[in-house]
Amino acid sequence: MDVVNEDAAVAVDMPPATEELARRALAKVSFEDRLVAYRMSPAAGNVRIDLYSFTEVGEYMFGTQWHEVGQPDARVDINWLDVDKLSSWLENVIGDAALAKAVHEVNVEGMSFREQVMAIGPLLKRRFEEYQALLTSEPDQTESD
Amino acid sequence: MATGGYVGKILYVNLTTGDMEEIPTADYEEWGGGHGMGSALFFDRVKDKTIDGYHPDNLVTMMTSPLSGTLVPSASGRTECNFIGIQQVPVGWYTRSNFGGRFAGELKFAGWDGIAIQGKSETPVWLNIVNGTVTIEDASGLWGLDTYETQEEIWSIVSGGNADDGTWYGLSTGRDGGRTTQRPAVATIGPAGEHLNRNACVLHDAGNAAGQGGLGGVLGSKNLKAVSVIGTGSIAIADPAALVDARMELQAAHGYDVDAPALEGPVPNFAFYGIIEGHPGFGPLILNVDQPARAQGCMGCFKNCRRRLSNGISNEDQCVESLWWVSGTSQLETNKATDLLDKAGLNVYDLINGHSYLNSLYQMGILGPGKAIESNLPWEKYGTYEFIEQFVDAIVNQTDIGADLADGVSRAAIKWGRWDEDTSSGLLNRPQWGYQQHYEPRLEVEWSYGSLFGDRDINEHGINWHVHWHATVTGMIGQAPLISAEDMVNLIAEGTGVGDPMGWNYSPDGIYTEAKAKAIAWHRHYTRFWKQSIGYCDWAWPMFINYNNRDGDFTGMSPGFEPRFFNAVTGKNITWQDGLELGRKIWNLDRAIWVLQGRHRDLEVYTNYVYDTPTEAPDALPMYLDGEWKYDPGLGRSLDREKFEGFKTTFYTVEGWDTATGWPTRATLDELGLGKVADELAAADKLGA
Repeated sequence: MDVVNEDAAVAVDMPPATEELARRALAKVSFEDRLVAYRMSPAAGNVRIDLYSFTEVGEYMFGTQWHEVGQPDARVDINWLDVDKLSSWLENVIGDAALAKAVHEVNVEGMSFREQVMAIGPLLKRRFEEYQALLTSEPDQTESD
Repeated sequence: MATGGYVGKILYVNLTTGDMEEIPTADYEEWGGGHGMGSALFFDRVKDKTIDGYHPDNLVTMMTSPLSGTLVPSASGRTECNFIGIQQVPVGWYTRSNFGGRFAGELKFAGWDGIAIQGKSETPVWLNIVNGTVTIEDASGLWGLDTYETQEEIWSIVSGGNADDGTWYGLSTGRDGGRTTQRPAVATIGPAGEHLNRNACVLHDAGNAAGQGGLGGVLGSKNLKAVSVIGTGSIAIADPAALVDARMELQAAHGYDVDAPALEGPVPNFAFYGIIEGHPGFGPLILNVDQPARAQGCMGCFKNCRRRLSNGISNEDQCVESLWWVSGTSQLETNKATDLLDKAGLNVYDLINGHSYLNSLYQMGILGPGKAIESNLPWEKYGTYEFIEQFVDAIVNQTDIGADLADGVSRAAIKWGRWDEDTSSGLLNRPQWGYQQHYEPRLEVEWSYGSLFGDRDINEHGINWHVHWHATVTGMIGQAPLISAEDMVNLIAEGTGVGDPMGWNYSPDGIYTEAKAKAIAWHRHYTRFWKQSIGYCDWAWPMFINYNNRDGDFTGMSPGFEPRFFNAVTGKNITWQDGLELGRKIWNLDRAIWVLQGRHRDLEVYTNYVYDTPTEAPDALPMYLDGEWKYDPGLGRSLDREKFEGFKTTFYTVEGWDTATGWPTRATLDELGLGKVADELAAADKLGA
């Protein structure tokens, strides 16, 4: 049974995210900037899925819970996406060049999609937690503004 | 003449006049059963084949096969329905749909090989079949009920309230009227069908549905709410010992041993792997079970691919309906969304990408409050159960954009002026006849060619499980294929009888060859007879490859076992090839009906995206590339217009059709014993030259 390699994700060298990056990363993108993925299912073939935010991408990739099958609420369809396109999207739409590079580098030729997810998922999770921490630690300016 | 399998008569009901008729099954026995018998009845009894699907003269057949209600594995539970469809665009072709469960068996136990329904009742009615007694009942008290409520009400009426707990009850007041513990088998429409929705289905028990073509809307137009049947008779088997021996042999070789599986997926509980090793209850495919559950199957099945859950939500659902709302945030919401459709009697497949297409229009600023396509549904909550509940309600009751969507997403897109643009870009990926793309039309062409040359999305998985899913599943999880591409195509080529493995070559050039045309023709003929007329379920048959064989030999049970079971039941002595030839006859009869409806070569083209946009997702298929067989993802592929037009000519030639029009010729029809069909085409000036 595979286990998501959290340690390996932590070991990847990425400069810290900035608040500006976090804000952009967690915002919803436009239709033109969406990331197109394909959910694969035997009954329906490859069903196109439009992803409109970094959060949706993470949820989508973890939607195939390879390491948690059999657990409550686990879903085991194949939520496929093109990892090269993901890398480009992270760089060009989200603006996180460091994460894009890290995703690109862990994607070794010949990897199965399951292996890709196991390698990339923790990177996205680590960065997502960084983004969230940056925004939740920020004093709420709304009312004073 | 058969000595077993058939029970002797077909029920004909005219809802306009209330007249009924017993048609001797022997009059149509040459067609096998199911679809073949239905098409022959349709041809004889519908004089004007160009009528609209809502026309009262549209004939709906609900047919069994000689194997229905017997022990033949994965072939006993299907009911085949033929009718003029209301779903397709631009023409509602004469079409088919079927459903599983126990309706076909009960119909046989009641003494009927099938039902043919024509006309239109002035008021809502339901058909009550209790053995040989058939009555047309008032359905005013059922109209408006959902499909589950309707069935519960009819169970109570027919059983006198005794069917709830398995109590023995008599079916008549007479001594010999028969006793049973069974609930009547009810096929019913829901509110969607009552409202003439073009995607309404007919539902039976919890999750068996005849969905494609809009049969629910057709029955709604006839004011027919439901058909109920219960019987206490039996079915003669010509050679019971041969039937049991064959079943036991197949079970031993191909069954899944839950105590000691011959093959297990490398990722525990990975539902997809059920496609390969066939563990019980894998049918919902994407959903793991998060609560006590057990496997469930259609009558007589040895695979039992469906499941029942302890919470009772989405029971017996599988395949597409079980995953149409995976956008939901939990498995419970996904299951609840499935039940929404079941109860409304709404077919899922128009909506599975339909809702995401509409969300795209919303994201583009085209659809929503105050937009070009006005909709006040809570699109900002897309992805939630709250949204999908309102969305389904709008379609069923034809409010908001549901008024347009009741005619189907494709017709709605046409009405909104979006069809050309969105089917050209692929945003609305509907390759033929307005049906949602199912399997990749640019690659897996036995699916797309079969759909285009026919009447609907074929939804025939028998070859697809192997050529597509075996390599896709193993590749995705990093497992080496269990069988090489070369061995796979050789087994299929040998099993089918086609002989040339290039028929299953999905390479850029391989999809346009004469070998491919022969493979496509074989597929059309196989399914028309063995699947749709005899009832072999495509979730099990044909069995060309058996991954569960313990000795490493992947040879499956086809082609030997289809005729072996058929002959054991009927006492006939037909061969695999005889069945294929009957399939060709039925396929040509259907083709003639489509021609009378307006089919022409010029209409058999895909929407633009199939030719103009490349594939983006892997679709592993066997391909012969650079002198060797391999599984290849086929990325970046589109269909070549010119080559496809050439392929059409090749295919028409293989089928014996006029290459300029795609119409059957008299020589072909005469050879098949369809001279009267040729006469009708000639009278309409539509006989191929």
